[in-house]
Amino acid sequence: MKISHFLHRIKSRIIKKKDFEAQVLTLPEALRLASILNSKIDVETLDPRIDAVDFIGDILDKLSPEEYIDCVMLLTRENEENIKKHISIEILTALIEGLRKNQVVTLLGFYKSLDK
Amino acid sequence: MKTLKKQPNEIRRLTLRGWAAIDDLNKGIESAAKRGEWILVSDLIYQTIDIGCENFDRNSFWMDAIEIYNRILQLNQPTKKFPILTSKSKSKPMPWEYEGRSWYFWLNLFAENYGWNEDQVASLEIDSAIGLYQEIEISAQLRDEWEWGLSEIAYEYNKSTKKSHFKPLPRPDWMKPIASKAEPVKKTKFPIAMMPAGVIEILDEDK
Repeated sequence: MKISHFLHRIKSRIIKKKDFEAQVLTLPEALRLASILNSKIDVETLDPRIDAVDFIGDILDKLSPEEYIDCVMLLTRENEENIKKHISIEILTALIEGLRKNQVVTLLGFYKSLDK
Repeated sequence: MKTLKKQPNEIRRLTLRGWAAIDDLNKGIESAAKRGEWILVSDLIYQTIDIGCENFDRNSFWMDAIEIYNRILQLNQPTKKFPILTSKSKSKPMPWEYEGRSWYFWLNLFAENYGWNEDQVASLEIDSAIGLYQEIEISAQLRDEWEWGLSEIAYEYNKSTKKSHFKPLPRPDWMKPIASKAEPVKKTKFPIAMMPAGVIEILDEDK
């Protein structure tokens, strides 16, 4: 009984973690994300040799708390209430993974080409 | 009965009707992007993809959508370098412009000049349409120049010289002659008789 209960808790935790994963975005979602991040990253002057930690840190420094939550909501397709149930490191991981999966630098380059 | 199953994302080169629709959508994308209406931009991009490609899933990854969109635009470019397309002059938006006007422009152009019906115009190849459009414009310009030459306003009167000078009708920039490349300066030899007389001393400062 105790073992099955323990396994159930682990399983539900794993499932919960899988639900809170960054997703690949469709075009409208990607453009919405780009509109938030466009003013935070200048892709034209971005150094291709920049360290990933510095890159992410630079973005996070410039994002307001509302924009941060908006980005995570877009990338995980979860509402704010569900996101806040997770610990901060999980939220940050989802954001970073989402930016990677959705090729954020390429996205911003495309966004800028439309905006010209 | 066997039905042909089309491959997903099969991109095709369009006829004039489809190309005019894509042209209108591109203008819409540009204006929506300037206004920051990104939902509309994505919807117009999807509409472009639906015209140029079948079986596209709108829930696809954004990069797949943009790749197909770019492939459709590239496949539906004119394949010849028409001078009329190189015109640098940007026309201001006219009061009679509206969304979806492109198709009616092309239909009117060919119906007026050749008496074609809607189906004939719609099935034209893109290069044929642009080539014929250029020829229509050239014929119209030459006809206007001939009529211009017969009118008084083509001969400007100069009060100081008391003579009239012909002022040709201006041509659009794509019809103007291309400036020839500057020829290299030819080295010419001077005749000995033209050379300075006397002993010529070459001063060598090193010695």
